[in-house]
Amino acid sequence: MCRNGAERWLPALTLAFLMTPAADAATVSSSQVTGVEMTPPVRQTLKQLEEQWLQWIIQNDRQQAEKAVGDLLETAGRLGVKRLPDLSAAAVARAVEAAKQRNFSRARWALEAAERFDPGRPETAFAESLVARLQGNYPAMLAARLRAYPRLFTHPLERYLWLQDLLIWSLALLLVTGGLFLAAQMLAKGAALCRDLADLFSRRLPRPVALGAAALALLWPIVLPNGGVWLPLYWSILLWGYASASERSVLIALWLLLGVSPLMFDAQRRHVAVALSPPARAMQSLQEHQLYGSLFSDLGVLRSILPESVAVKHLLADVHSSLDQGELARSLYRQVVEAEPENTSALLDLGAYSFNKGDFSGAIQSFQKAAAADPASAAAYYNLSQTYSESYMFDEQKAAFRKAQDIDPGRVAAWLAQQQRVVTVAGGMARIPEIRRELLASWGGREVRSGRLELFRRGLTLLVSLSLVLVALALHLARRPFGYTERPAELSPEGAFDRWGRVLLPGLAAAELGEGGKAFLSLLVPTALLMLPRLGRLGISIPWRYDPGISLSWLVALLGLALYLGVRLRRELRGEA
Amino acid sequence: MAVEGTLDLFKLPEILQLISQQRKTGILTVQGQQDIVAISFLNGRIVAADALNQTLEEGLSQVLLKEGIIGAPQLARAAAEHQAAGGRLIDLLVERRYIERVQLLEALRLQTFRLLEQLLRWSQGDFKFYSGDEVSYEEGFVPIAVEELLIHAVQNAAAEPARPVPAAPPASSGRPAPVRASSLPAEIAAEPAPARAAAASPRPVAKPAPVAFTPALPPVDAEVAGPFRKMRIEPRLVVSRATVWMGRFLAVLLAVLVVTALLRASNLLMLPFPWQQREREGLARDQRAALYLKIDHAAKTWFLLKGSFPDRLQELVAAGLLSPDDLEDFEGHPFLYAASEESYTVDPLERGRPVPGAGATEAITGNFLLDPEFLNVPSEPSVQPLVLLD
Repeated sequence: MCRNGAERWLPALTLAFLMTPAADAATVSSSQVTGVEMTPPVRQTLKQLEEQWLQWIIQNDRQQAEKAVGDLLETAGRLGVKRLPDLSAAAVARAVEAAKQRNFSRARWALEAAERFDPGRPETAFAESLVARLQGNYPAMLAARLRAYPRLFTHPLERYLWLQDLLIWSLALLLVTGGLFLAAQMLAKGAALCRDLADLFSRRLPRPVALGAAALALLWPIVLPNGGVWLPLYWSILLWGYASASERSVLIALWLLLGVSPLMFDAQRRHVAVALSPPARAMQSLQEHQLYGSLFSDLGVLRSILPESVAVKHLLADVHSSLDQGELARSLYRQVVEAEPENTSALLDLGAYSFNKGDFSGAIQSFQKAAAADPASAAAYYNLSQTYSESYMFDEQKAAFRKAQDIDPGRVAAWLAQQQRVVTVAGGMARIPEIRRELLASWGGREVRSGRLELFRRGLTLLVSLSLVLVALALHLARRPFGYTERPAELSPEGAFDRWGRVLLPGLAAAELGEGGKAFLSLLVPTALLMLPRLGRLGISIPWRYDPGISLSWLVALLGLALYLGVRLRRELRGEA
Repeated sequence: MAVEGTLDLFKLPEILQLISQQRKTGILTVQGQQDIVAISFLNGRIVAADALNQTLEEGLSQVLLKEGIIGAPQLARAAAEHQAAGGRLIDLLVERRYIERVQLLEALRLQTFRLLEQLLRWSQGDFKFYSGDEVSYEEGFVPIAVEELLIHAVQNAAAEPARPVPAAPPASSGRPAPVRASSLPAEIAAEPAPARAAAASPRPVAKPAPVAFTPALPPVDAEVAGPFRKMRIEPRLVVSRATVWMGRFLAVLLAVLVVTALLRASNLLMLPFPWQQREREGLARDQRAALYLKIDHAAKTWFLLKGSFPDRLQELVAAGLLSPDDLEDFEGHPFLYAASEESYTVDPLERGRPVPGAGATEAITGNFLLDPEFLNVPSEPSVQPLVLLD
């Protein structure tokens, strides 16, 4: 476990260990070691998985390796899982290693194994692309790449993280473009600003001294704490007086963005931190029927963080149920029903356990409670009818069955077709969103988020951005006494620099003409292209199990930039720019 | 309201600067010994200038010919057409596509510049400024800042200090200054024509020095304060080289700051204020945790294949499990990595020392695929052991 994580969850973990549900069998493992209690059959199955993996590792023969993969998947299926992401990642690494050793046949079957262990992973397709490249098969390389990129968005956690990264990147892009927009404004209008300041100081000082004073007046914010932010903000206020209406609109939008973005970052980072926490990853894996090495430990962490959560108990009960650990499941379902007497799904599960144990009177009690708690539950009446049948109470059986058919004839027919004796509902799994909310609340509780001072501190940024608007307006009204030149100054004498400057410095021509929106957009496009390789490096690292690198980002960025500048150059040469 | 005086008391540059600084709108007339010149100001900038002894068409024709914008035969043909069609010659030149409107405006600006430079050489005469709310001028005309005019005049004087005074241009026999009476302030419009036309014979004036021909950008709608909103003007002012370079330096400084923040301290870019230190630390912690997770995935994948953690993180990069960027955190701190048999530690380094509280230790414990002890745990006894106290 990560030390940081340990620091975060340790107190709760300790508490949870003390509250572990009592195991009924002497051979059940301690949850202190395995996260959740495990019966010998489950441990045996996991052990078997480990051994079968070692079998796969040592195989040099394709057929034997394929058989080992089949065995692994069959064993995993006994635990109710379909995907083995750790093994898939290792198979990908093995494939890359083999390809680098020019053993392409081994690389191929390793990739096939990776795909079977965890189908649809982007890492497998990226590795396939690399293997094809090393083999010199460029069409296959391209095809694999094309197959890989759509896969980036097929897995919920990675897709969520990718979108969050994109959000951070977009905000950073807007802020960077805003900074460059100000730089372009300064380039176009800075001379007028400097001149006006120098003129202002010239009223009392000699001209050279006035120029120095103007420079000081412009640069003093750099010595403030975090001067890097105060300087552009200060300049944006000064340049306000020289800006056109559209440029002022852009400036206001940038100030507001600066005020709002910290709040967005903060909220976003809490959600991402929770999504990446071991419990959230464990729940995500359960939803996707994945089994990874530390799944059970991570579930243990979940229980330690939310020891009193009924939803967590319900989820763990479902986990035990899927592992065929009925006694452990029943203990937890009972706790759920104690806390939530009308929890239909837990009552159904309890009833099903009794039914499977042959305790039909106990089952009838549970199913009757479920039917009373939720009269619209077809499953409750269906289970009742089955249990009455086993108890030779045929009148009651018919009545219950008729009731179930009245409620949902389609599902009842399906259950009959599948010859299901009793029906259960994965109520604990359905409570995962609820558990996520609880996790988020418990995560937020670690930070001071109340109190007037804290509220003021958090709102201060927004206050600053609103103050900027007011200061700019006040300065605008006071522009005459301060000797503002209301229109921008000529950048420089016309010449080669001017022409190439306009081509190579997007936004400059628009800034000279006072076209704020156009200047911002002109800067946004090349900035976005240049920042493309930073996508994924500004926010949260997505924990890919095989890193495809950023070569494609660079390629797109450079090609896009060349195209963009080429178009600008062409327009300039045609005299349109 | 009018302000008047003589050039003995106030030099013309002083008068021009006064009007410029006060951003006055109106018409300044200067009556010399041989000519009268009327200068139209809009918000302290010159937008038109006319001389009594030279029509607008005459002065403009000279400039067009001299700059090679139009040939003499074309101009003659245009003049003939003008005689027949009436209207303004300058409009006809554009309508019949002898010249582009942009060229016309540039030539007009140059002609105005030259006229004003001639005027600045006057040392005697009377001036009168008629303040008003608006003046008439050619649409799209790029206003001339007084500073621009004066700097050019000074530069030209310095460049050609002893230039002989050539002959004056021929006196005009045509229409006087094309300032439209309707647009003039009431005082000047009401003045009797003889007073306005009280011009003596053309005096020998210096031929103006060539003025740098600055091609103007297409005129744009620039919104300015005051009564002249949505006026079509060209945003141009001449500023000194020192201020131009100062502006460029500041722009470059800002761009460098932004790019540096993006590359070296992206958290500072996104959470820039001093009071956001806690949020920055939180974000850095979360970013590091996510990176550690990625490293952990890679290290444990390696362990699955090799049975041990890698000796160096670079081995994970070489295996394609990590990217080179993952070898340092989001704040640019490189990682110090140390592996043992069952665990490894990652610590970000700042100036060669681990950043306190920022490291992470990971182990195979709790992972059923890696930890041989995970499944070989002793069973919990269901019954508490009997303890004999004595």
